[in-house]
Amino acid sequence: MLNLLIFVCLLYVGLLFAVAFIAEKAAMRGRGRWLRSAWIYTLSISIYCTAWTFYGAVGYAARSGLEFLTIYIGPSLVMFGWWWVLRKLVRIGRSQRVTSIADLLSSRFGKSNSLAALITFLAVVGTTPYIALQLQSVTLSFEVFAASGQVGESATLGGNTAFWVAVGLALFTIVFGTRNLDVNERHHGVVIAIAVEAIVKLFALLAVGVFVVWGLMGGIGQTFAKIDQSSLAHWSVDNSRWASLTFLSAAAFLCLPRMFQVLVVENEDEAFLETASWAFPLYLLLMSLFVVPIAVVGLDILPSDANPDLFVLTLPLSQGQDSLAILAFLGGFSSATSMVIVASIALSTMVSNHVVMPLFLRVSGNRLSMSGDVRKVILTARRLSIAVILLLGYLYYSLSGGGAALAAIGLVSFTGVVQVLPALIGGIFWRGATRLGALWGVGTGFGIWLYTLFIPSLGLDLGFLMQLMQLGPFEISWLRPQALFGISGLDPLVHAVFWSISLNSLVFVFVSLISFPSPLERLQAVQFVNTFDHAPSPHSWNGRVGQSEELMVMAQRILGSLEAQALFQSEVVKQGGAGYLPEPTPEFLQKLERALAGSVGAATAHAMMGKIMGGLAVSVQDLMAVADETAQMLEYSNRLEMQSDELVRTAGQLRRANDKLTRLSVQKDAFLSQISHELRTPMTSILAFAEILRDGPDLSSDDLNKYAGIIHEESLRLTQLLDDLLDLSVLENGQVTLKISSTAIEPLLQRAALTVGGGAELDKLALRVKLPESCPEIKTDDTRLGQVFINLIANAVKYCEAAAPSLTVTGFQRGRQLVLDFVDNGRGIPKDQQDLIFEKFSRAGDQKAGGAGLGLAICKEIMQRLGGDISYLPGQGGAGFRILLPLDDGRSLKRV
Amino acid sequence: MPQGPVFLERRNYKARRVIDAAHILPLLGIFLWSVPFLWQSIEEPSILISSAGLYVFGVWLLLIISQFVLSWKLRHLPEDVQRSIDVSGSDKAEL
Repeated sequence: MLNLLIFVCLLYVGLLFAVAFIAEKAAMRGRGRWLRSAWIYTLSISIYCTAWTFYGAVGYAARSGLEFLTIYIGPSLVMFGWWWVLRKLVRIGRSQRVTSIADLLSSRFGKSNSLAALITFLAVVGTTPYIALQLQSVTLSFEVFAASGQVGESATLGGNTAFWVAVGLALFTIVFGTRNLDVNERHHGVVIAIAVEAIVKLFALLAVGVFVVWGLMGGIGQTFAKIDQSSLAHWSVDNSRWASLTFLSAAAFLCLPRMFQVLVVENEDEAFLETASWAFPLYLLLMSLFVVPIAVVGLDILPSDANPDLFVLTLPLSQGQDSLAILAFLGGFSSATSMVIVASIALSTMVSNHVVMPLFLRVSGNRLSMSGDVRKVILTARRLSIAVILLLGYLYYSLSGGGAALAAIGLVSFTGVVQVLPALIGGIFWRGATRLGALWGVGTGFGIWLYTLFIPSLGLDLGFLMQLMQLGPFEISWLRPQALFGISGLDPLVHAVFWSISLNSLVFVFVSLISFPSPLERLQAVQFVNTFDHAPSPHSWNGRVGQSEELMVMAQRILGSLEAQALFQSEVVKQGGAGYLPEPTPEFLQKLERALAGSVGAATAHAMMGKIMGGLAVSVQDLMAVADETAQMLEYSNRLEMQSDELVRTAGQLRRANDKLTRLSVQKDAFLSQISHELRTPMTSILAFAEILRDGPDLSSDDLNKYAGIIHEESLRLTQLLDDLLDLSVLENGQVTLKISSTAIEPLLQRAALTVGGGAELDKLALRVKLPESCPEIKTDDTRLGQVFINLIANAVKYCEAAAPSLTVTGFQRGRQLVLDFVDNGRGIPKDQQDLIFEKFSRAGDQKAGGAGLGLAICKEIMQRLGGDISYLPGQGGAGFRILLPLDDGRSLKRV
Repeated sequence: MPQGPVFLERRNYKARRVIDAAHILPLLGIFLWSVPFLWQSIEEPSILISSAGLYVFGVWLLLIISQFVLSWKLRHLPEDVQRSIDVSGSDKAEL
């Protein structure tokens, strides 16, 4: 049995290695689109559900009823509230290239490494017991199988299960977690392996649950009945624990280094949060659905000395369901391993970026750009950190003897890590939060946590500790670790959470209020708090020509030569130069620092840049610190400048509008005289010939015909003019009804050309039509569109003064629009007239041809009714008109 | 600061209300999951664990479904609204 288990287990681990390997390969070849999906993201978040959750929740339920639900309700609330906090965190994480929670805070608070180191220390101290817990759970579950098998088999493993599990995990994490020094710190292989494990653990727990409810209880009804008869029958959750545990789990969900790693650092796309915001709570709901039934049945069936933390395993085993038990074991194994892998990646990033690299920088002094590969140093540091962290976990496990209920360590660990919360929330929402405030706040909270929760939880049997617990330090009773300020009788956990978080926040706010941040810190504060405003980046570097090469050398060593060259070259292209070395503009230096920060953290990147750029950064900073209000004045004068720019723009617009109005007025006057002239000329001849007809009765029939013909022709001209005016006013008032039908462009153009050609000046103009092969039919009013075409062609006939006039119509599709360009080879329209030609009564220049200047105005109105547009297209070598037609089934027509 | 329009199109108005709902949902969750505070004071007969469980899980399911609907709506926000949220952080958004 145990051998089978070990075999299955190794097979499973092999599978995980294979999956991770394939995913890495796919990502490297750029084919990993499926690796970047919202579902994988959601599944990877499920590392929140560790072995503590998998095994421990049942034990928790067996001890305290429904209280275990708080552990899931908190994170669900955070996900439901993603619009408040997570969205902002992810946006900041992406824009600032954040590599860990310590990096985020250090970057926010002036790229301070002391803060990052403090948080790293806190994270290591808070996470080590948790890793120990996972090792313990795997060991315990192995022992369950060993105990159920023949005697002696357990000897094959000895007490070394935990050790070998730790070694295996370290190996996996080093292989896939530190394969490359990714600029974005993302690990496809690891993420995909975790997603697989997430499915396995959910499936395993659901399988056990289904077996218990339908296999052992006989259905849902009986299950409910059984639960209400059990010792857990009544609601017994203490209010203060219900509230503080929900808060604690919600806060831990944001602050745990491993959660921050998967939520923010490994996030590829903000939109994933939308899916995860409901899918992850659903995952949690499913994980907790069968916990109470399993606990109740376990209490009922199994002997009273059975460990409730292992009911998930022992229940199927006791019923002879070996394969189900193995599945449950794999579920627990998955929960434990995925947590340890991500936690150690997150911690090793923090340790190498905030402890090892700063030390290395200090030791290596100014030889940074000389020799050796910094990448190797960083990777080695990470690998060593992973090994050390797992070793610490193992040591904690073997020293603590693997006692204590699983859940207890989990909550102690949560409370420690959560001390980051006030600084985190304050940092992203409050510009006034300062580095000193964060340092003091986190320090205070951490101290209180150590004093009130961590040390008592160790349960050490030392005389002075016992005395401390009962009497307080130096017998000051109001300082007793579990009854601060004389308030005794509280649940120790609630007591610790309450005092540590409230005093932490209080100190954080108070110190922030009285301290004064450095200029860099204030710049970072603006960037973080107003991250959605795309605030312009502060420029803290000033480069000299010639430093680019040094920068290149450094960047190559940290980012890798290919990546660094690509980065530099893209900048050269952007600056419009050639070669590899761009000008060290402030923008470029900023970008480079961000890229470096993606590999080594903000604080280290800043320090490295500082070394190469020499004292410049410091001098800028010094300058600002000396004339400290400079920054404020700069801000103020920037705002003034913006306002005055805006005034200038507005004034310009007004001037242009005024010019246009003046010209329009001139046009209108000209038109009035024009129109009177236009009306008067035909009127005069009509009158004259009508008089001749009236007064001269002895006219020959030829003359009669001729004069009547002239009157008729002139009346036609008048009617045409009046028709145009009427048409325009109908269009302008929107009283026109469109007859929409499917229309092909080419035939319509040909018909329009025929219509124009049938008039006076036929065949003078060469019409060329170039439409795309598959020119789609459009839904429009073909009569009206034809009218526009006729107008444009007629205009070209009338105004094009080239020796061999030609008109080219070019059509192409752009997005959801069809674009038609009508370009002739004439003189075009003078620049100062271009914005007037679509106005009523406007005629470009004093041209020979008649017409009241209504044609283009009518075209404009028609095109707008049809949901498209017509505009003048300058710079075509002749007069050019561009027509835009919508392709979306005439939907935009209705809007008008 | 350039002032936005006082009144918005119906479409944009609706979109902003969707964002409001996204803000309010977790508060609703906190409220509904605070109801168990009242149960401690009930003496006899105290709340059965099955009904308590049904309530807590029911709230959970309700919130998940609401969030599902909301996230669908958020994904289909008009583009210009999405842009204006990104720029102004939705906090300074017009009503």
